[in-house]
Amino acid sequence: MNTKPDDEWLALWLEDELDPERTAQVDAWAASEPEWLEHRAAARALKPLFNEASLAAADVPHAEFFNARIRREIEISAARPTAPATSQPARSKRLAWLVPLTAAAGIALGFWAGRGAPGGTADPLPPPVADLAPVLYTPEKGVAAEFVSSGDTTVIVLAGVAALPDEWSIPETAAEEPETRPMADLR
Amino acid sequence: MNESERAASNESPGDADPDDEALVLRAQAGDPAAFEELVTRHRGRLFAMIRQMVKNEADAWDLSQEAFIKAWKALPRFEVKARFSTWLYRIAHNTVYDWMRRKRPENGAEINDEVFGEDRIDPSSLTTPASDRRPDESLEVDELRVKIEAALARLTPEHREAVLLKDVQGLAYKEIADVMGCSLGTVMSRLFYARKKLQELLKDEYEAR
Repeated sequence: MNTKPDDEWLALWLEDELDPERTAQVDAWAASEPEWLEHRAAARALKPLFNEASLAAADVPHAEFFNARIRREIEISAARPTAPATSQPARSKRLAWLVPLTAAAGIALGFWAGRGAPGGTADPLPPPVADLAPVLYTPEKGVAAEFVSSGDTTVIVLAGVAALPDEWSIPETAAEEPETRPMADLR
Repeated sequence: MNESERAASNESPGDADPDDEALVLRAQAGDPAAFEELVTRHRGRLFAMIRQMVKNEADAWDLSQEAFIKAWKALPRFEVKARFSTWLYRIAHNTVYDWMRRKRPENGAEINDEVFGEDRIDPSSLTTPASDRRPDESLEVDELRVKIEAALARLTPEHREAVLLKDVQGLAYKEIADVMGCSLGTVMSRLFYARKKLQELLKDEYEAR
Protein backbone atom coordinates (compact mmCIF):
# COMPACT_ATOMS: atom_id res chain seq x y z
CA MET A 1 0.00 0.00 0.00
CA ASN A 2 1.48 3.33 -1.09
CA THR A 3 -1.28 5.72 -0.09
CA LYS A 4 -2.22 6.55 3.47
CA PRO A 5 -5.05 4.29 4.73
CA ASP A 6 -8.26 5.96 5.82
CA ASP A 7 -8.73 6.95 9.45
CA GLU A 8 -10.94 3.98 10.31
CA TRP A 9 -8.33 1.47 9.14
CA LEU A 10 -5.56 3.37 10.88
CA ALA A 11 -7.49 3.54 14.15
CA LEU A 12 -8.05 -0.21 14.14
CA TRP A 13 -4.45 -0.88 13.10
CA LEU A 14 -3.15 1.27 15.97
CA GLU A 15 -5.11 -0.82 18.46
CA ASP A 16 -4.25 -4.18 16.81
CA GLU A 17 -7.90 -4.64 15.99
CA LEU A 18 -7.59 -4.77 12.19
CA ASP A 19 -7.96 -8.10 10.38
CA PRO A 20 -4.67 -9.79 9.30
CA GLU A 21 -5.04 -9.05 5.59
CA ARG A 22 -5.60 -5.34 6.08
CA THR A 23 -2.98 -5.25 8.85
CA ALA A 24 -0.42 -6.45 6.31
CA GLN A 25 -1.42 -3.67 3.92
CA VAL A 26 -1.17 -0.97 6.58
CA ASP A 27 2.10 -2.46 7.84
CA ALA A 28 3.51 -2.04 4.34
CA TRP A 29 2.50 1.60 4.32
CA ALA A 30 3.68 2.24 7.89
CA ALA A 31 7.13 0.80 7.24
CA SER A 32 8.17 4.24 6.00
CA GLU A 33 6.11 6.12 8.63
CA PRO A 34 8.10 6.04 11.88
CA GLU A 35 5.65 8.34 13.64
CA TRP A 36 2.78 5.91 13.16
CA LEU A 37 4.91 2.98 14.27
CA GLU A 38 5.80 4.97 17.36
CA HIS A 39 2.11 5.65 17.95
CA ARG A 40 1.28 1.95 17.84
CA ALA A 41 4.21 1.09 20.10
CA ALA A 42 2.96 3.61 22.68
CA ALA A 43 -0.51 2.08 22.59
CA ARG A 44 0.90 -1.41 23.05
CA ALA A 45 3.15 -0.33 25.91
CA LEU A 46 0.50 1.48 27.92
CA LYS A 47 -2.43 -0.88 27.62
CA PRO A 48 -1.11 -3.54 30.04
CA LEU A 49 -0.39 -0.83 32.62
CA PHE A 50 -3.90 0.53 32.44
CA ASN A 51 -5.37 -2.96 32.65
CA GLU A 52 -3.28 -3.77 35.69
CA ALA A 53 -4.25 -0.58 37.50
CA SER A 54 -8.00 -1.33 37.24
CA LEU A 55 -9.02 2.25 36.61
CA ALA A 56 -12.24 1.51 34.73
CA ALA A 57 -14.63 1.63 37.64
CA ALA A 58 -14.66 2.77 41.22
CA ASP A 59 -16.96 2.12 44.12
CA VAL A 60 -19.13 5.19 44.45
CA PRO A 61 -19.01 6.45 48.05
CA HIS A 62 -22.38 6.23 49.80
CA ALA A 63 -23.86 4.48 46.79
CA GLU A 64 -27.37 4.16 48.25
CA PHE A 65 -27.43 7.85 49.11
CA PHE A 66 -26.16 8.58 45.59
CA ASN A 67 -29.13 6.73 44.08
CA ALA A 68 -31.57 8.22 46.59
CA ARG A 69 -30.66 11.78 45.63
CA ILE A 70 -31.12 11.03 41.95
CA ARG A 71 -34.46 9.39 42.72
CA ARG A 72 -35.54 12.45 44.66
CA GLU A 73 -34.54 14.82 41.84
CA ILE A 74 -36.56 12.72 39.44
CA GLU A 75 -39.57 12.82 41.76
CA ILE A 76 -39.28 16.59 42.11
CA SER A 77 -38.98 17.11 38.35
CA ALA A 78 -41.97 14.81 37.78
CA ALA A 79 -44.05 16.85 40.25
CA ARG A 80 -43.29 20.15 38.49
CA PRO A 81 -45.86 21.31 35.94
CA THR A 82 -44.55 21.10 32.41
CA ALA A 83 -43.97 24.32 30.52
CA PRO A 84 -46.58 25.16 27.90
CA ALA A 85 -45.61 24.61 24.32
CA THR A 86 -44.38 27.77 22.65
CA SER A 87 -45.45 26.91 19.14
CA GLN A 88 -48.24 24.83 17.76
CA PRO A 89 -47.62 22.31 15.05
CA ALA A 90 -49.31 23.00 11.72
CA ARG A 91 -51.70 20.09 12.18
CA SER A 92 -53.01 21.62 15.41
CA LYS A 93 -53.68 24.88 13.62
CA ARG A 94 -55.72 23.13 10.95
CA LEU A 95 -57.89 21.56 13.64
CA ALA A 96 -58.16 24.72 15.72
CA TRP A 97 -61.86 25.11 14.92
CA LEU A 98 -62.49 21.89 16.86
CA VAL A 99 -61.24 23.38 20.13
CA PRO A 100 -64.38 25.38 21.12
CA LEU A 101 -66.60 22.44 20.18
CA THR A 102 -64.49 20.04 22.24
CA ALA A 103 -64.49 22.45 25.19
CA ALA A 104 -68.27 22.79 25.06
CA ALA A 105 -68.67 19.01 24.88
CA GLY A 106 -66.31 18.63 27.83
CA ILE A 107 -68.29 21.10 29.94
CA ALA A 108 -71.56 19.34 29.09
CA LEU A 109 -70.05 15.96 29.95
CA GLY A 110 -68.67 17.30 33.22
CA PHE A 111 -72.05 18.78 34.14
CA TRP A 112 -73.79 15.50 33.34
CA ALA A 113 -71.25 13.49 35.33
CA GLY A 114 -71.46 15.94 38.24
CA ARG A 115 -75.17 15.45 38.56
CA GLY A 116 -74.64 11.70 38.53
CA ALA A 117 -74.96 9.43 35.56
CA PRO A 118 -78.30 7.62 35.47
CA GLY A 119 -78.10 4.09 36.84
CA GLY A 120 -74.63 4.45 38.27
CA THR A 121 -73.02 5.81 41.38
CA ALA A 122 -69.57 7.07 40.63
CA ASP A 123 -67.07 6.78 43.45
CA PRO A 124 -65.78 10.17 44.37
CA LEU A 125 -62.13 10.63 43.49
CA PRO A 126 -59.78 10.96 46.43
CA PRO A 127 -58.65 14.51 47.04
CA PRO A 128 -55.32 15.31 45.43
CA VAL A 129 -52.43 14.92 47.79
CA ALA A 130 -49.78 17.57 47.48
CA ASP A 131 -46.22 16.33 47.34
CA LEU A 132 -45.04 18.37 50.27
CA ALA A 133 -41.39 18.54 51.12
CA PRO A 134 -40.77 19.03 54.81
CA VAL A 135 -39.88 22.53 55.95
CA LEU A 136 -36.42 22.58 57.49
CA TYR A 137 -35.31 25.27 59.89
CA THR A 138 -31.55 25.69 59.96
CA PRO A 139 -29.62 26.70 63.06
CA GLU A 140 -28.01 29.76 61.55
CA LYS A 141 -28.09 32.01 58.53
CA GLY A 142 -26.27 30.78 55.44
CA VAL A 143 -26.76 27.11 56.21
CA ALA A 144 -28.44 25.15 53.44
CA ALA A 145 -30.54 22.19 54.50
CA GLU A 146 -31.47 19.29 52.29
CA PHE A 147 -33.86 16.49 53.12
CA VAL A 148 -33.45 13.09 51.50
CA SER A 149 -35.64 10.13 52.24
CA SER A 150 -34.88 6.66 50.93
CA GLY A 151 -36.94 3.71 52.11
CA ASP A 152 -36.80 3.75 55.88
CA THR A 153 -33.75 6.02 55.98
CA THR A 154 -33.97 9.76 56.31
CA VAL A 155 -30.96 12.02 55.90
CA ILE A 156 -30.80 15.74 56.54
CA VAL A 157 -27.74 17.42 55.06
CA LEU A 158 -26.70 20.75 56.55
CA ALA A 159 -24.22 22.50 54.26
CA GLY A 160 -22.38 25.47 55.68
CA VAL A 161 -22.31 24.59 59.38
CA ALA A 162 -19.00 25.60 60.95
CA ALA A 163 -16.77 22.70 61.96
CA LEU A 164 -16.68 21.80 65.64
CA PRO A 165 -13.48 23.04 67.27
CA ASP A 166 -11.04 20.32 68.32
CA GLU A 167 -11.10 21.38 71.96
CA TRP A 168 -14.87 21.04 72.17
CA SER A 169 -16.02 18.15 74.31
CA ILE A 170 -19.41 16.83 75.25
CA PRO A 171 -20.47 18.32 78.61
CA GLU A 172 -20.66 15.68 81.29
CA THR A 173 -24.33 16.13 81.95
CA ALA A 174 -24.92 12.41 82.17
CA ALA A 175 -22.03 11.74 84.52
CA GLU A 176 -24.19 11.02 87.52
CA GLU A 177 -25.65 7.59 87.69
CA PRO A 178 -29.40 7.68 87.55
CA GLU A 179 -31.04 6.55 90.69
CA THR A 180 -32.03 2.95 90.21
CA ARG A 181 -34.12 1.19 92.72
CA PRO A 182 -35.79 -2.17 92.50
CA MET A 183 -39.43 -2.05 91.60
CA ALA A 184 -40.32 -3.34 95.02
CA ASP A 185 -39.03 -0.13 96.65
CA LEU A 186 -41.47 1.94 94.70
CA ARG A 187 -44.45 0.36 96.27
CA MET B 1 -21.37 -7.20 43.26
CA ASN B 2 -19.50 -3.95 43.69
CA GLU B 3 -18.61 -1.49 40.93
CA SER B 4 -15.12 -2.94 40.39
CA GLU B 5 -16.33 -6.53 40.16
CA ARG B 6 -19.05 -5.39 37.85
CA ALA B 7 -16.40 -3.76 35.66
CA ALA B 8 -14.19 -6.83 35.78
CA SER B 9 -17.02 -9.04 34.63
CA ASN B 10 -17.69 -6.72 31.74
CA GLU B 11 -15.02 -7.05 29.08
CA SER B 12 -15.79 -3.72 27.54
CA PRO B 13 -18.48 -1.12 27.89
CA GLY B 14 -18.64 -1.36 24.13
CA ASP B 15 -20.38 -4.71 24.59
CA ALA B 16 -23.55 -3.17 25.86
CA ASP B 17 -25.57 -5.34 28.12
CA PRO B 18 -28.65 -6.26 26.10
CA ASP B 19 -30.68 -5.66 29.24
CA ASP B 20 -29.69 -1.98 29.03
CA GLU B 21 -31.98 -1.63 26.06
CA ALA B 22 -34.94 -3.12 27.91
CA LEU B 23 -34.26 -0.90 30.91
CA VAL B 24 -33.98 2.18 28.71
CA LEU B 25 -37.31 1.39 27.07
CA ARG B 26 -38.96 0.96 30.47
CA ALA B 27 -37.37 4.17 31.75
CA GLN B 28 -38.52 6.03 28.65
CA ALA B 29 -42.03 4.82 29.42
CA GLY B 30 -41.68 6.59 32.79
CA ASP B 31 -40.49 3.78 35.04
CA PRO B 32 -38.07 5.36 37.56
CA ALA B 33 -37.09 1.94 38.95
CA ALA B 34 -35.71 0.94 35.55
CA PHE B 35 -33.71 4.14 35.41
CA GLU B 36 -32.38 3.51 38.90
CA GLU B 37 -31.16 0.11 37.74
CA LEU B 38 -29.33 1.85 34.90
CA VAL B 39 -27.80 4.25 37.42
CA THR B 40 -26.64 1.35 39.57
CA ARG B 41 -25.13 -0.39 36.54
CA HIS B 42 -23.24 2.57 35.17
CA ARG B 43 -22.45 4.72 38.18
CA GLY B 44 -19.09 3.03 38.92
CA ARG B 45 -17.66 3.60 35.46
CA LEU B 46 -19.09 7.07 35.10
CA PHE B 47 -17.88 8.13 38.53
CA ALA B 48 -14.38 6.73 37.88
CA MET B 49 -14.24 8.54 34.55
CA ILE B 50 -15.37 11.88 35.96
CA ARG B 51 -13.12 11.53 38.97
CA GLN B 52 -10.14 11.05 36.67
CA MET B 53 -11.20 14.17 34.82
CA VAL B 54 -11.75 16.52 37.75
CA LYS B 55 -9.37 14.94 40.28
CA ASN B 56 -11.68 15.53 43.17
CA GLU B 57 -13.92 12.94 44.70
CA ALA B 58 -16.62 15.24 46.05
CA ASP B 59 -16.93 17.13 42.76
CA ALA B 60 -16.95 13.86 40.84
CA TRP B 61 -19.77 12.60 43.05
CA ASP B 62 -21.85 15.71 42.39
CA LEU B 63 -21.07 15.78 38.68
CA SER B 64 -21.93 12.11 38.26
CA GLN B 65 -25.29 12.81 39.84
CA GLU B 66 -25.81 15.81 37.61
CA ALA B 67 -25.02 13.69 34.55
CA PHE B 68 -27.55 11.02 35.55
CA ILE B 69 -30.25 13.60 36.24
CA LYS B 70 -29.60 15.22 32.85
CA ALA B 71 -29.77 11.77 31.29
CA TRP B 72 -33.17 11.17 32.86
CA LYS B 73 -34.47 14.48 31.56
CA ALA B 74 -33.08 13.84 28.07
CA LEU B 75 -34.14 10.21 27.99
CA PRO B 76 -37.23 10.79 25.80
CA ARG B 77 -34.89 12.04 23.07
CA PHE B 78 -32.50 9.09 23.33
CA GLU B 79 -32.63 6.67 20.42
CA VAL B 80 -32.38 3.14 21.70
CA LYS B 81 -30.36 1.99 18.69
CA ALA B 82 -27.43 3.94 20.14
CA ARG B 83 -25.46 2.57 23.07
CA PHE B 84 -26.70 3.93 26.39
CA SER B 85 -23.23 4.03 27.95
CA THR B 86 -21.77 6.07 25.08
CA TRP B 87 -24.66 8.50 25.31
CA LEU B 88 -24.09 8.74 29.04
CA TYR B 89 -20.40 9.51 28.52
CA ARG B 90 -21.41 12.26 26.11
CA ILE B 91 -23.64 13.81 28.77
CA ALA B 92 -20.87 13.44 31.34
CA HIS B 93 -18.43 15.10 28.94
CA ASN B 94 -20.73 18.13 28.58
CA THR B 95 -21.40 18.24 32.31
CA VAL B 96 -17.70 18.20 33.17
CA TYR B 97 -16.79 20.81 30.56
CA ASP B 98 -19.62 23.10 31.68
CA TRP B 99 -18.35 22.73 35.22
CA MET B 100 -14.79 23.49 34.11
CA ARG B 101 -15.98 26.63 32.38
CA ARG B 102 -17.74 27.72 35.56
CA LYS B 103 -14.54 27.10 37.52
CA ARG B 104 -12.45 29.05 35.03
CA PRO B 105 -11.10 32.27 36.52
CA GLU B 106 -12.66 35.47 35.27
CA ASN B 107 -9.38 36.70 33.82
CA GLY B 108 -9.97 34.42 30.88
CA ALA B 109 -7.31 31.78 31.51
CA GLU B 110 -8.04 28.62 29.58
CA ILE B 111 -8.17 26.13 32.41
CA ASN B 112 -7.87 26.47 36.12
CA ASP B 113 -4.82 24.35 36.85
CA GLU B 114 -5.84 24.03 40.45
CA VAL B 115 -8.69 21.85 39.34
CA PHE B 116 -6.39 19.43 37.59
CA GLY B 117 -3.28 19.64 39.75
CA GLU B 118 -1.71 16.29 40.49
CA ASP B 119 -1.32 17.29 44.13
CA ARG B 120 -5.08 16.96 44.43
CA ILE B 121 -4.97 13.22 43.91
CA ASP B 122 -5.74 11.50 47.15
CA PRO B 123 -3.90 8.16 47.29
CA SER B 124 -6.07 7.04 50.17
CA SER B 125 -9.20 7.81 48.25
CA LEU B 126 -12.28 5.90 49.21
CA THR B 127 -12.94 5.24 45.57
CA THR B 128 -10.00 3.01 44.88
CA PRO B 129 -11.60 -0.16 43.63
CA ALA B 130 -12.00 -2.96 46.12
CA SER B 131 -10.62 -6.31 45.13
CA ASP B 132 -9.82 -9.78 46.40
CA ARG B 133 -6.11 -9.43 45.74
CA ARG B 134 -3.50 -10.34 48.33
CA PRO B 135 -2.45 -7.32 50.40
CA ASP B 136 1.00 -7.10 48.73
CA GLU B 137 -0.54 -7.34 45.25
CA SER B 138 -3.15 -4.82 46.21
CA LEU B 139 -0.47 -2.43 47.42
CA GLU B 140 1.42 -2.73 44.14
CA VAL B 141 -1.71 -2.04 42.15
CA ASP B 142 -2.55 0.91 44.36
CA GLU B 143 0.93 2.34 43.83
CA LEU B 144 0.65 1.86 40.09
CA ARG B 145 -2.77 3.49 40.07
CA VAL B 146 -1.48 6.52 41.93
CA LYS B 147 1.41 6.86 39.47
CA ILE B 148 -0.90 6.57 36.48
CA GLU B 149 -3.34 9.07 37.97
CA ALA B 150 -0.47 11.49 38.61
CA ALA B 151 0.68 11.07 35.01
CA LEU B 152 -2.85 11.54 33.67
CA ALA B 153 -3.17 14.71 35.71
CA ARG B 154 -0.31 16.20 33.72
CA LEU B 155 -2.15 15.88 30.43
CA THR B 156 -4.51 18.47 29.03
CA PRO B 157 -8.17 17.70 29.71
CA GLU B 158 -8.78 16.72 26.06
CA HIS B 159 -5.79 14.37 25.94
CA ARG B 160 -6.66 12.88 29.29
CA GLU B 161 -10.26 12.27 28.28
CA ALA B 162 -9.22 10.59 25.02
CA VAL B 163 -6.93 8.20 26.87
CA LEU B 164 -9.50 7.47 29.56
CA LEU B 165 -12.21 6.73 27.03
CA LYS B 166 -9.95 4.50 24.92
CA ASP B 167 -7.51 2.81 27.24
CA VAL B 168 -9.55 2.73 30.42
CA GLN B 169 -13.18 2.57 29.31
CA GLY B 170 -12.48 0.73 26.06
CA LEU B 171 -14.64 2.79 23.72
CA ALA B 172 -14.19 2.54 19.96
CA TYR B 173 -12.68 5.51 18.12
CA LYS B 174 -16.01 6.39 16.56
CA GLU B 175 -17.66 6.39 19.98
CA ILE B 176 -14.91 8.61 21.39
CA ALA B 177 -15.41 11.01 18.49
CA ASP B 178 -19.14 11.11 19.29
CA VAL B 179 -18.54 11.67 23.00
CA MET B 180 -15.95 14.39 22.49
CA GLY B 181 -17.70 15.97 19.52
CA CYS B 182 -14.69 15.78 17.19
CA SER B 183 -13.44 13.86 14.17
CA LEU B 184 -11.80 10.45 14.11
CA GLY B 185 -8.55 12.11 13.07
CA THR B 186 -8.67 14.43 16.07
CA VAL B 187 -9.20 11.46 18.37
CA MET B 188 -6.15 9.76 16.88
CA SER B 189 -4.09 12.90 17.21
CA ARG B 190 -5.12 13.42 20.85
CA LEU B 191 -4.37 9.81 21.67
CA PHE B 192 -1.01 10.02 19.94
CA TYR B 193 0.18 13.00 21.97
CA ALA B 194 -1.38 11.75 25.19
CA ARG B 195 0.23 8.32 24.91
CA LYS B 196 3.57 9.80 23.94
CA LYS B 197 3.53 11.97 27.03
CA LEU B 198 2.38 9.10 29.23
CA GLN B 199 5.15 6.92 27.86
CA GLU B 200 7.69 9.47 29.04
CA LEU B 201 6.03 9.87 32.41
CA LEU B 202 5.55 6.15 33.05
CA LYS B 203 8.70 4.89 31.39
CA ASP B 204 10.06 3.31 34.56
CA GLU B 205 6.81 1.47 35.11
CA TYR B 206 6.41 -0.28 31.81
CA GLU B 207 10.10 -0.98 31.41
CA ALA B 208 10.11 -2.73 34.76
CA ARG B 209 7.40 -5.14 33.60
